[in-house]
Amino acid sequence: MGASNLEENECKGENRDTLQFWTEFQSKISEDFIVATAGNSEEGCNEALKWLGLLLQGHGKGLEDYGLPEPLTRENEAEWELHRWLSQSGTLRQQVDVGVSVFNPEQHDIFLRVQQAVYNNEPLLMFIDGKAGRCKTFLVNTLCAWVRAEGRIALPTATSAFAAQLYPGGRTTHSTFGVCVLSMANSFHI
Amino acid sequence: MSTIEPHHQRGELLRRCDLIIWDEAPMANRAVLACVEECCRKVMRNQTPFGGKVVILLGDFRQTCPVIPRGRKADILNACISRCQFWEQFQIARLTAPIRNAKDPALASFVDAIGDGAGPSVDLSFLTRTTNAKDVINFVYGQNITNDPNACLRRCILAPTNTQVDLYNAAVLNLLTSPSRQYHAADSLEKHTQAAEVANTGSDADSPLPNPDAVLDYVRCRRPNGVPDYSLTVKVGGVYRLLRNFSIDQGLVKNARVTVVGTGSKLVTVRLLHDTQTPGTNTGDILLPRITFKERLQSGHTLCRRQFPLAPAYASTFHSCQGLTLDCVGIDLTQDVFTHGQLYTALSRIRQRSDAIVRLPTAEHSCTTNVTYKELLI
Repeated sequence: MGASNLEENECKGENRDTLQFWTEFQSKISEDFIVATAGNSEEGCNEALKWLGLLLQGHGKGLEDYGLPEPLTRENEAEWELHRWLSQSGTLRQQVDVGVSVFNPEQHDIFLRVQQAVYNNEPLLMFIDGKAGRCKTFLVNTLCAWVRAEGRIALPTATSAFAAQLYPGGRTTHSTFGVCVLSMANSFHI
Repeated sequence: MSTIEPHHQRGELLRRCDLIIWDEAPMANRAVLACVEECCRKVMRNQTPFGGKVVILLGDFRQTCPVIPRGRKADILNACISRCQFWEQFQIARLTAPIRNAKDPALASFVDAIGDGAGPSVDLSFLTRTTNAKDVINFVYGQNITNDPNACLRRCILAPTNTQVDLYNAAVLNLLTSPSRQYHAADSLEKHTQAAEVANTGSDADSPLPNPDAVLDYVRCRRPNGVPDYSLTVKVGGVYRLLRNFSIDQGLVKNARVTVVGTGSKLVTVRLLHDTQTPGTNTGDILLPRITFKERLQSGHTLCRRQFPLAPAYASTFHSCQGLTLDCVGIDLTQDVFTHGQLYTALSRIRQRSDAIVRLPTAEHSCTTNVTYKELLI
């Protein structure tokens, strides 16, 4: 909520005392994040700053434009991704058990092939061809849950963000792999 | 190409990940697949394709494929991921058991036949037909359904072109009696590219750039694709879609459906509409500011339009209806479909024949054209 307040200020161009505003109200602005990090106010404020930075990036600006401090990047992305699913491994395992029990033979076959490749660290390139409504999302979610329950990293991505949001922890393919959209802007429009 | 280096944090994440999933892959340009491949090899520091990772692509080649502005068939085929040099190394797995259409097997096999290239002329006589727009709007949004934004979430009017979609949206929005507000965009043309273009074409007197004022006048009444309307009507209780990605975790993504709760002078308050079948966390009210959209115009100028990232969502093109499950659909076929997979994408949204009404040019006709590039099917 506070962030939208700050945004409103930005809209009006009153950015002269943003730093003062931040120091004064940072605990209020970061409240959501502090709750999310189990009451750690320092980490919460840091998360809030990161989020603000992303928000500003969307407007073509950065935290430094407003004299705000840069957030600390203590944990790295891979550790964070592992940490994120660690606490849920019980529910993930349950999800896998339920998923596998209702799979049809086709889904089961694909699941086993991927499972084997991940176990043995073998390369596997596969295209799953399925018409609309063939429960592809369900299959992918079960696969990701299994990989994550194993303490490994799964990256579900999709061409559009609309499709990516169907997967927990989903992202767009472009942002995950740093695909430069600008260079293809002429030939690529979705 | 890829901006990720092995020593980046993201590089480490990719190196340590065991499973890469890519949904809706056929919608992407093959250059993206090549870029992902290169990125994987780079972070894994080896030369096996995709760095020896487990990469699972998903999708449906029967649906609409990459959009190439003013592209011909050859351009579209060439942009497809199955023309990528790595394509042959992918194993193909098929999911064939019908699930969503199980209620109406006859419709399912009819739609499948369209996807596999039936036609060029297909008979739609078993669907409800009409010749005027009013019937379509009544069928989809009759009985005051527009008063309940949640009920609109699983209803949509589909048409091939943006112009037709805009007309339907305006008509349905008119049915709403709630207070409305008109927001005008701030338009400008990007300065430096304009100057560069003028410098480039300066010697070539035959093709002078159009007058910038004329261009601005033109985009005011003719909306270029990819930007919001110049004059945007926002009605409280109306159903809109977002035109930008804000947060994937919160479901605030491009094409996500929202309903408007408040219209301020600088901010519009919206609420995300959730599909009742997919439980999600309630994100509460969201304040949207105006955002600058940049779009390269055919005239060579780059338009900067500052406007709320919203567009009415009562109607949609065949291309952007991908991924929606709908209970009630109006399909406008007064103009024939013009590219691969459009008819299939539109018809595969529904589960039984009573869910749809089709608008055809004349009452005598019950047939329409289907376009399928068989070269794309695998």
